[in-house]
Amino acid sequence: MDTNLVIRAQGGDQEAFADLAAMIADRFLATSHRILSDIDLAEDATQQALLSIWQDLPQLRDPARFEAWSYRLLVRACYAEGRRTRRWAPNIRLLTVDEPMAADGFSSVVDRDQLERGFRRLSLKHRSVVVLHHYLDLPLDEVADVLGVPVGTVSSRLHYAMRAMRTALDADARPTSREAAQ
Amino acid sequence: MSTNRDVTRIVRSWLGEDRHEDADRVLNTVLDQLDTTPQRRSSWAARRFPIMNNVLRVGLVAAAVVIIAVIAINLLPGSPAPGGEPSVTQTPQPSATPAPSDATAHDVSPRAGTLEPGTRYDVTRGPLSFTFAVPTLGWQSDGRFWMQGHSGSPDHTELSFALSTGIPGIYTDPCAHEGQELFDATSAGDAEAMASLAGVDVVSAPADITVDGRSGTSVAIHVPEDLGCGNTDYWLFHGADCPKVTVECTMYPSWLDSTLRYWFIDVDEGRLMVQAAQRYPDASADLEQEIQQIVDSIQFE
Repeated sequence: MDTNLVIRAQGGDQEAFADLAAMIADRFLATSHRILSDIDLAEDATQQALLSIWQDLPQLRDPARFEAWSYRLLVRACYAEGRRTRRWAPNIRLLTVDEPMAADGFSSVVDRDQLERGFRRLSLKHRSVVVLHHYLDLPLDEVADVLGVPVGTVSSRLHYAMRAMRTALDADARPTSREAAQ
Repeated sequence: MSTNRDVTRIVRSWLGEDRHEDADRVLNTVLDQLDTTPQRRSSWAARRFPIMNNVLRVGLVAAAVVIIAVIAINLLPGSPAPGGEPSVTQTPQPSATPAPSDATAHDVSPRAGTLEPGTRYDVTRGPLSFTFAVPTLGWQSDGRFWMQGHSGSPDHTELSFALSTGIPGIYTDPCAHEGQELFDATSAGDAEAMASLAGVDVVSAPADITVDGRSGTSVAIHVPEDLGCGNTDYWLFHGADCPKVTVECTMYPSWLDSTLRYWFIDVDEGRLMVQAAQRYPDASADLEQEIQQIVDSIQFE
């Protein structure tokens, strides 16, 4: 991240902030979309996070920490959206027979459906840890920094979340009694 | 049945799929609002003294004097440590890990925040009470018996205190959380169990120690990186009253490629386990001595 850009934006330079926001907006939307599992909520959270960044930038003491700080505001915005609008309706998708299979063997629509259902059952705190670590590739200590919690807490949440995802995948993969009897 | 590696791979692959988000609309909306959205400046800079009335100004000065006096009194030699006073009313802070099951309402941990060198901090775990001190700056308490040292540096260490009554044993296979082995009745047995864990390297073999006149055994192990499970799946201990292995039973996640040092100290109430998890392999040479100084500072009541 360009620290000079951050410093200029801290001083109220709208052009610098526009450049900064353009650099992070796509990633913010993708991250919030994954945490919230809803594109409308994700757009609202991203918008709120970017505005919060603009408003609070003068209070950021160390511009070099902009990235972790900005992700913290994004996660907070996601929590706020999640609390404000509780419409976690299941995302029903039509199964198609010809869905291409990815090289790693995953990627059937059934797998995605299982993953989405398992993920929606997690709390926002657990989802955030999974997304920050497994999507943004942040090391656990940086995830802890973003979330403002101890590394052990991040580790616990990730462990719980991944075990829950594993359980969801295994449960859905388990044949029903009728299938087993056939 | 999926393995942990399978699930991680599948989840990462799923999260990494292109979901065709386009942030342009959001970005334009935000930029349109900048003119009407003022930045929040530092609160101290915004509140200038000239706009205060005299009463408020005198009140603030008086409050500052009182605060400085209280701090000065607390810093005098022999005075009670700030934040170190036992208090049964303090609010539990979020725990770095599941709280050991021997925690009671009477347990006392240093309050969440910075630990000052030279200050003695009170700890009560069940019936056991002791004090300890840190030798250098850079240590913080999470308020629940976990101290983080030098966070964000190669010396990052997590140090914890637990009483043996809350930790009945270890998993012989910490990756799979299987094979519960109960600690036996001696500190030497505890240390031997740690040194015998499959796959770990023994850094310091079990050795007799004395801490504040109490005997015990220390041991240090290195957890290799290639144990076959992820960082978040390596859990050493299982909790009390956990006949079945569940998420709730696993305790104290440990880092792969980290060095774990243990001091099992025999006390009347059982055994005190001090765990210091040194996160990175390239920690400074002084760190081991610093951790040892913390252990040596323990004084039982």
